[in-house]
Amino acid sequence: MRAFRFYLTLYRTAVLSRAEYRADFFVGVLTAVLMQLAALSFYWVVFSRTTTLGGWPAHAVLLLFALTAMSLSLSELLFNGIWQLPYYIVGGEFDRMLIYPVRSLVFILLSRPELHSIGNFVSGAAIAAFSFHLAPPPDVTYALLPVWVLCGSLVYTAMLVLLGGLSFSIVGPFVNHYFLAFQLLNASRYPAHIYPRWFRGVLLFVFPVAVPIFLPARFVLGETGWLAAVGLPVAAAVASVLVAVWFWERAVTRYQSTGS
Amino acid sequence: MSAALRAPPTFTQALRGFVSLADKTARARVAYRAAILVSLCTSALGYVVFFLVWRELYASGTASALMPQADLFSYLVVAFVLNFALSLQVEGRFGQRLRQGLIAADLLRPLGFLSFQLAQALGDLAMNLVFAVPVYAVGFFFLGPGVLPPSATALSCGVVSVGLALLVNFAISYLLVQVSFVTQTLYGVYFARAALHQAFSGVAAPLAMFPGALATWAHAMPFRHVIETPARILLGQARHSEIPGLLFGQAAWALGLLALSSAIFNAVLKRHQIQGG
Amino acid sequence: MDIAIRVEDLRKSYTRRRRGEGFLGGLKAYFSVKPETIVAVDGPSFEIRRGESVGLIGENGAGKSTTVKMLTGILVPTSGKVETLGLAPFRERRRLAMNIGVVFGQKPQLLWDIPAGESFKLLKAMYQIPDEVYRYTYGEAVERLELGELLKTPVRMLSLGQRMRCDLAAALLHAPLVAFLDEPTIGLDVLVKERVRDFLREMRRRFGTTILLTTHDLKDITTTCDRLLVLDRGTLLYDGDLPGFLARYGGDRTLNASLSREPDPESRLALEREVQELGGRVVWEGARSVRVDGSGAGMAPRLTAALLRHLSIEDLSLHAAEIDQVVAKLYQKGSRTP
Repeated sequence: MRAFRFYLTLYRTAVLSRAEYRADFFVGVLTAVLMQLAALSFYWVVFSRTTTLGGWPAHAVLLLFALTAMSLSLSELLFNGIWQLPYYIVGGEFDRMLIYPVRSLVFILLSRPELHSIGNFVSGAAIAAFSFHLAPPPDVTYALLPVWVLCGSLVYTAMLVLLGGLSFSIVGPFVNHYFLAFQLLNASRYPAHIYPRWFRGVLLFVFPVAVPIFLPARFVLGETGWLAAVGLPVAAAVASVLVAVWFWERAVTRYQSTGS
Repeated sequence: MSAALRAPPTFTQALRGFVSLADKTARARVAYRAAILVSLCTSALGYVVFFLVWRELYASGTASALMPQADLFSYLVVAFVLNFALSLQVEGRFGQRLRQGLIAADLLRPLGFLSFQLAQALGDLAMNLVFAVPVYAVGFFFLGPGVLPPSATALSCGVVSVGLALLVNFAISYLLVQVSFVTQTLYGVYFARAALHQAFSGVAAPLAMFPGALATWAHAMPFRHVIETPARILLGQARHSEIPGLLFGQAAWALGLLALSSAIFNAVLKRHQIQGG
Repeated sequence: MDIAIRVEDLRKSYTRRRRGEGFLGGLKAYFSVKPETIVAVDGPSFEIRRGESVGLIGENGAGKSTTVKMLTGILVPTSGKVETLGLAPFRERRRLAMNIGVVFGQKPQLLWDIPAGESFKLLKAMYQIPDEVYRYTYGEAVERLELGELLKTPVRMLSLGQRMRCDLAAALLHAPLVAFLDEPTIGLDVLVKERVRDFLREMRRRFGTTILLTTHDLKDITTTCDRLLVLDRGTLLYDGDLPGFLARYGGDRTLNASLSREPDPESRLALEREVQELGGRVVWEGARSVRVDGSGAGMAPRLTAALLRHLSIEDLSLHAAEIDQVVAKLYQKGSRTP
């Protein structure tokens, strides 16, 4: 519990540091919204030609978009520091972090919040609201929404940690490998059943980033019960976090053994 | 003892300098070839998603009316290849120089700032083609000869169009660079441009597929001339009567944007001189 | 417990493959043959008791940083035993971290672009520093290191010297049992160096902090340390107190004299004879310039006297051996012993 309170202080400090760049903030939020709109424009193209995609109506597909955007933004608002890992390793700051009595993974995750992602969150929430306006979901949906977004952000973050852990072996000042997670998350924007079986399997079982996004939409459409709609995303989140933490510990231990 | 003033470079000297800079830029990127390959793979993954969505639309019968599936798929392949090949590092390099405070030095180069940036952009292109060509070959492997230019006209006009597309893309980046002289930061405009490019350049679908309002906006902006125009011409998807107009449109945008950039540049330069900066 | 640091036959070696760039290079390197082994630390053994202040010197690449990293839990030894405050540093990293403070010369403490004062607040929470301890260390640091104005300034706007002072304060804020200081006075001017040494002395006095200080500045050692460890190519060349070290290795003196007139041959011979009797040597550097070298206690005044006796001196400068030269001389001796 004390540790949790400290993490809060840590996060607050990191936010303070990012807040130094005030002018950038409004521009950043605006551009985040713009990028979401750009992605939405493809939805517009698709749904100007058809009323359903993979048998799903527009409001369901838009919900996929919304949950993806909100999961992404929560991960970026809280745990964005993982993107800095390659630079920390190359610059020696990672060694510095090992001096502190703090879990290295948490320290890194919280070290660089991306405050501009509020723009992504707001966009996502707006689209979700629009989707619910088009087709009012069962009331319990509103209570479950935060759970889904949290699970989605945890799975996505866990994937980033897994890819980030590779940075210890493939040392260099680049983050290109992180984008695999980003693209897989983007793939969750469309109904998973339009994908070939193997790809669907990857998105649901290997890197289960689609689970907290696809299943909630199925729930809203009445295609699945609330137990699965809550239980499976939570299970996916827990499993992902455990795997990521395990992998991280191994990667760091290996790094400490083979030297910097 | 006073040294003689150095004369400005002759045309051949400038040309040689230009080419060697392009070469140097391309070589410098070789060091990042693995990272570039990874980028290519991850963005290919994004494209695969577009493919799958369109495949679904065709399977459900809603898209066939506008464009044969084979044509659209070929278009997507070419669009992807062009998107990758024409991606330039202009803003990235400039942003770095800006942060390092080296811009003043760049402005004083004998080659001229514009040529300096353009030479490096061509270096980017050279390196990109090393990857883009194999990707195109992969597209051919999967989709067959439909991805290739169907006629000599398509090929020749297509190549010209690609060249003009590069200029348009460069001109947009160059304009951003000029704007950032004023705003002192590249950050917002860079991502705003990326968003507009994604929405309006036709990377995910040709403009014919766009709904009315979106298409109107797309036609009013230069982004489509970077991807959609050269892709359509190359694939013979543009009617012969359209081609001159399209090429002219590309050239007009490129020149117009460059002219605007020059105007801003001169204004900024003048302000610096007045302030003694 | 009594022993702060214990090191036994400590070894650290890296296998270095030709690391290619990025992915493909790294992958290729995995499959290529002949990884070379670099031995960074080659079996030193030593013990540091609680409360001692020890200087660690050596050329760059001698293994100092690697040793410190193993002592603080950043690196795992290849073999041998390492123990800090009775803990295995790597296995109990976080528990150890609560009780140590580290300054890595030239690397800023925290990652964030916030005023140093905010960093301190974070550290207070991180190390769970009791209020009275914090009040004391904070107060001492602010006063002795003159941090006043710096506390409100974001880190990026501080000079290297200012940042070093904040780093040092940050490392000792929680009154750690052991302080690892890697070049803490680098880039500081003489007055500030004095204040840093004052601060360290005060912390030692008040808390009995054990100090392991890596430095190239001899004065840091003479003012702050009771003991000296010299590392060369991963091995321990010297482990003992300062007077012994200086007596054995630090006695070199060089006198440079410029003369008002060219000396006659008899004077030259007389000087040479006297200097050689003292165990030194004379180097004539041109018509009116001479250099005299000698080593040992009391050599400087005797060589000066000899010069003044035999030549007409216009100007004279006395030059004592830098620690690097002393250590270099030490390495020569070290490499000659079987």
